[in-house]
Amino acid sequence: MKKTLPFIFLLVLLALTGNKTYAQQLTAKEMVNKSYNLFLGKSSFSVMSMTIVRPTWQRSIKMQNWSMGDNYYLTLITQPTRDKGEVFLKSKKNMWNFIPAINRLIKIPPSMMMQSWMGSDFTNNDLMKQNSIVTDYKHTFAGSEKLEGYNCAVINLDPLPDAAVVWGKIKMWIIKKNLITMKVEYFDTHGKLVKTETASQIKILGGRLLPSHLEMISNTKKGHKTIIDILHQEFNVKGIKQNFFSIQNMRNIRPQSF
Amino acid sequence: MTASAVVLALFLALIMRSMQFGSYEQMIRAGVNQTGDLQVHDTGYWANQSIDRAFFYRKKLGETLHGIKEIKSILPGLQTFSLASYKKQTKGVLISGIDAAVYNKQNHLSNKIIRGKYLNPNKNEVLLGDKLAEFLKMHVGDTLVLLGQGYRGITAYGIYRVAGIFHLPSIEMNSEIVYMNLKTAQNFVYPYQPGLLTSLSVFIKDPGQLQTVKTETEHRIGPNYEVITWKTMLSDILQTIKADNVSGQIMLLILYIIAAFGIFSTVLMMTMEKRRQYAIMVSIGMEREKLVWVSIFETFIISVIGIVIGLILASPIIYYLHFHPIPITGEMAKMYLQFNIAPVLPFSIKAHIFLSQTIIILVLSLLSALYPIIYLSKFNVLKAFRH
Repeated sequence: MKKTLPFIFLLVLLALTGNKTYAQQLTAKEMVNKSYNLFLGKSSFSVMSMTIVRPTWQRSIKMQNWSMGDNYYLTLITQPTRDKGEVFLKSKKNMWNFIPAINRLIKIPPSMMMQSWMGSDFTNNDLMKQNSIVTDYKHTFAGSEKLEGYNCAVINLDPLPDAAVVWGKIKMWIIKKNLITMKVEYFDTHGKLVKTETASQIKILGGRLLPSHLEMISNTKKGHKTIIDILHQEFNVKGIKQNFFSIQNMRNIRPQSF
Repeated sequence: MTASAVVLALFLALIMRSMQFGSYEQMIRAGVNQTGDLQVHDTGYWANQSIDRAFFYRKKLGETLHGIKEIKSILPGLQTFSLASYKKQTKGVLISGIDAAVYNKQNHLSNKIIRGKYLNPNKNEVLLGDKLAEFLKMHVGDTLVLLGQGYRGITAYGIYRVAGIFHLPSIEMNSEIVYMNLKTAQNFVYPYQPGLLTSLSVFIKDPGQLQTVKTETEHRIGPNYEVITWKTMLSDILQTIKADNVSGQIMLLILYIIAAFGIFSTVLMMTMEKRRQYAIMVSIGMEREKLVWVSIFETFIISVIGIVIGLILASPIIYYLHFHPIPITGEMAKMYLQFNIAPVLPFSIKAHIFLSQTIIILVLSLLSALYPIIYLSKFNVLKAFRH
């Protein structure tokens, strides 16, 4: 009896703290990786609206996106009329753009990666959705913070010595419970805050718990931000294979009904 | 003798400076024809020339500008950078949207068309420079694809038929500019709202009134716009002129030194020659002071005669060459044309040239009078007598 009591006590203790420690047992890198993969899957289809907000004007674009893993991504612009039919393709490390009005296919070179995508606060680089946020940085916990009522882990990302990244530092707030990234701050190599990405309106999308409202806010230009609203999301879409993400398909793709 | 030294010095100085200033004026005029005496932009455009700093033309702005009587003409413009492509060739170009009729009146672009026709104000066609057409392997009637950054982040794209090919003096303009109607350019860059412009080029009646017109325009159109003069827009030409001016001034300095020596040596010779005469005059009782004054007077008159003769000789030549400049041919001519300057050797007839050179030579002549003054004040009568 005397020998087993401490043993039982230990078991009970473990049982009580089991749930919490599981999440806490994730390293910072694992948390970032899991959060990054929330929007990905074997394949996915989504419908989004993007609104570019500026001090004196505003513009909205509607698009449909298909993806496979994180190497293949196809975006078709459906609104407004003038931009309708424009297609962006990410295939491994290359990015292409097709404009039907002039029937031209443009390969976007690495030198254009930091240019804004369609005039928004997202760059071509952001759209490439490279998992460099997992592989090119050193991840360290920097405490906890409550955001919008959610208990978040604060993680600092510092670039690895040989990493070819644009940012000097990134700071992420990830909800401990469901691993959704609530906020990301991007700093340049001089330590100046350049832009902030926030997520909100968490709901079930395509069977997963995801934020449906994302904002990319510029910290260098007052009143500049880009808002993305996810209108429809599906995962593990049928019939999407690698040849879907091809240059030929850029000319043929049509909007999908949902 | 002294007089002829003065004449020569003044003559050479005048010719040289007139030529230099003439070529400066020529360079500036060529530049101003392109940019206008003034330009009106949205604030901050000149410092950062991106399409996002374009502005919408408002009737009130036009009325205000037309109300300023010193303004001769106003040319609206929309310029943006774009990629131009034909089949497999692509090149970065400057799209220049112009009011075809008004622009032609100012710059006579229709006279520079070598193939095809000038812009038809009712069509959406483009004009290419001959070097650009050569690079893209395009002919009149082919269609050019344009793709670039539009206003407010939209993608600017379009397909346009080539109406004509032009040849301008500048190779740069022949290989980089695509002209199109203002409305065509506006639809290319931002079709959602009419009247987008990047600049209004203003030409004034009297170039001397530049600063006054600038201030008045700024005052009337308000703080939402900036008014930039050609002195800022053509600052690189002004820098070149400044540098060249310095080299010119150095050459002039050398000329003055040589001239000063010439004048001085003649004055010296004259004084030495008259030593005996001065000695006699002093010995029979003339006050040295009076002698000094006589010599100053003498030098002064000779200098003035020299200057007057110099002016009489130089002026007609300069005036003639101003109105009938010497043409430049061959390799030099090609170089001039590359800089968009007519290949002639120009002469300037600005008053300051004549005035400044005259004053400087006069001062030099008078300075050389110092020698006889000093000599006459001190010379030993007996010694002078003996030589």
